[in-house]
Parts: sequence; C-alpha cells; structure tokens
Amino acid sequence: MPYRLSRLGYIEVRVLDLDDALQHYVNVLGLIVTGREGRRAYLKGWDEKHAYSLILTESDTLGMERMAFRTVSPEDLEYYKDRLKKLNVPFATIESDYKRGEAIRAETPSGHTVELYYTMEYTGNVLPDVNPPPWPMDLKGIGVPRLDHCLVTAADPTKTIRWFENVLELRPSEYVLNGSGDPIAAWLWQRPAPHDVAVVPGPDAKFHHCAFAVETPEQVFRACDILAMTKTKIDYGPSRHGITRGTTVYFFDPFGNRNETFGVHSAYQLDPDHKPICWTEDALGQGIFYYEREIIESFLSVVT
Amino acid sequence: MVRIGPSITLQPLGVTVEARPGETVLDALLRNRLRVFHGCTRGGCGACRLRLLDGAVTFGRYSKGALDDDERARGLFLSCICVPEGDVVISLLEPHESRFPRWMRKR
Repeated sequence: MPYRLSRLGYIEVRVLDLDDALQHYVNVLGLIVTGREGRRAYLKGWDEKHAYSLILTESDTLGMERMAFRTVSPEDLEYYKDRLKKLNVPFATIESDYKRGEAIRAETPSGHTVELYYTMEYTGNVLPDVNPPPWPMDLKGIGVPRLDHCLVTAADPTKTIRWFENVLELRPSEYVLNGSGDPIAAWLWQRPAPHDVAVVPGPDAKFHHCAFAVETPEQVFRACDILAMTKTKIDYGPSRHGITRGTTVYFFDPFGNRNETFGVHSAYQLDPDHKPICWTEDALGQGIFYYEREIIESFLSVVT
Repeated sequence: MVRIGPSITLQPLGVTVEARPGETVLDALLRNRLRVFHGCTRGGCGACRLRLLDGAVTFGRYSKGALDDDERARGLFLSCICVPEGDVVISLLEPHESRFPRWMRKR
C-alpha cells in the first residue's frame, strides 16, 4: 500500500479568548503567528515549511473543530475522492481556505471532522534555505519545532479506529485490545513515526490533546521548567509512555484544552510492514504512564 | 478564631471549611484535604462540577461545553473558577450528573 498521506497537516482548536490564547501558544509553547483574520489566528512551529499547522478560533466552547491530513501529491487527493465515493462515505469539497487550496471534508463515526488537502502556501521554515544553522536563536518559551499528533475520544472507539484504517488507510502502530481482540484504543500513522492521530475510549466528538514535538530529554525537562515558570497547569509529567515510548509532559492551555510536548527522540521509527504492537486492557496503565503503571484520574476524564 | 473568609459546607458529608478571601471553591476544598474530583482547573472540562444548595458564587471565565446555561440555571457550578460570595452550602453530584468517566467507576 503506497503512502498517500504525508502527515497531520493542521488542526483547528477552539479557545475562549484569542489574545489570552496567543499569550500561551506563542510565549509558552513558542509557536509563531503567521496570520490573523477576525476571530482566527494561524500559527506554526519554527521548523514547519507551510503556512500554518494550528488554527486558534475564538468561541464559547473548547475542543477541536477539525483535523487535516496533507496528501503526498495532488493525485492522492483525487484518489481519496474516488475512495470515499466508492465506500459511500459522505464528504464535502471545500474549494479553498486561508492560504490553502482545495480540501475534502468528512466526519468520523465519532463525530470528528477530518479534512484532506494537498495545497498550502509554502513558506519555508524560519531558517535560511542556504547554509542554515541547526536552529533559530530567537525562539520564545519551549520553542517547539512542529505539530506532532492529536488524540481524540470515541464512544465506540473500535468503529472509529476501523474508519481511520479503512477509509483513510492509516496504519496502526499500537493497539489496546479488549477481551474479544478488538482494538479499543489505537495509535495510527502515516509518517514513519508512532502516530499522527490516536483514538481512545471516551465521549464522541471530544478532543483529548494536541502534541508538539521536542527533540531531547533535556528539552522535556526544560519544557516543564517553562510551564512552572509561567504558572501553566501541568496535567501529568515529565514521564514516559509505554505506548509509542515517547517522553512527555501534558498541560492545559488557559481555558482547559490539553497540550503535550512529546519527546520524539525516544519514539521509534517504522517500516511499511510494521505489525501493530498490542497491549491488553489490564495493562493500559503502564501503556500510557509507564513509570506510575496506572492512569491518573484526570487523564481520561478531562476532554474538551 | 476570627473568621476572615466565607464558609463552605459540603454535603452529603456535612463538613464545613473556611475559604480564604478570593479563593475558589475547589482550592478551598483541596487545601482542606477534601479530595473532590477535578481536571483542568481552567473552567474547560467540567470535571469539578458541584451543586450550589444555598448562597451564591461568582463565576470566572468558562466554556459552555463544561457547563451549559441549563445546567447553570439548575444550580450546577464549576468549582475551579467559582468564588463564594459569602457562606455557601454545596453538594457532590449524583452519578448521572457527574463527568467522572464510566470506565473508572467500575474499578
């Protein structure tokens, strides 16, 4: 099966106040604002080469408005149009959006909005194209290089996991299996990294977290320092995931949406014939929080 | 001892604690070792919802997804962003009103 999706391209997250949101996402996480239009701001990490990876939208509720995957080529967008038609999955075609070309939009069984697109304004990262230094010196806060993944909850997680696998052809890197051998949680990938999106049990249409990459163990601790210095509420961490092997710290934005800085240095890389790593339901605790070996209360109960 | 803050009585335990001036209901309960369920503490998730039986609380900023207008009209409030205006009596929620996840209740 060829790779037709290159990565999680962008997500749109609802916030209660755009200025307070930017204070967090810019000064604490270190994202860069690339545009602002009315109630929306567009941001990206310093190493991302397209116009944006995060849209913040002012609203009276929180959560994720949509997630969007970028296709490998324009032809792959056509491939998915045909595939969704063939599978009788309803979808809308959206001609354009801010600095982005055509997209198709569909809904998962759990009520999450998913878009696929290819064209977005190519901006390059913040480094020069010729003879660049390894990283920019003028970053704010944690200074995350890029969006890594998002995690959503589903009342019937098996159905939604199968939808991502069958309709979008995402590949499972890891499963949590129930007694009947069905996945009740899955980490799904297209890049050679453990996940672009993950699904866990919970209410439909809810947002668990979005994660931004950090590159070294030292940077996970540095992120924790910055969260503490800025009085950002830490949910959990620093710690280690059994599933994905990533290092982590979870925290909340000023309104209660959960963010993560995910240590990609310890996560593995994948080959096309990777077979999913499986966890049993009774080992979910160590799968998620490897050191504590049990899930803290707020982790599966707090969704927005 | 002279009281400087409002009192919070938590039902059905019938325990009364004193809040510091300006302190949220949740902070006052936790500081007094009453471990009520809570989550983001930013008015976003609704994990800390409790019921107001008597008195009044001042709301801070919160998401309508954590507490909708109907629920607020029925006396539910978000303890993480609400500050008592004088003495209050509050109660834990019935299981069906709580956001405590079902899979955790079974354990």
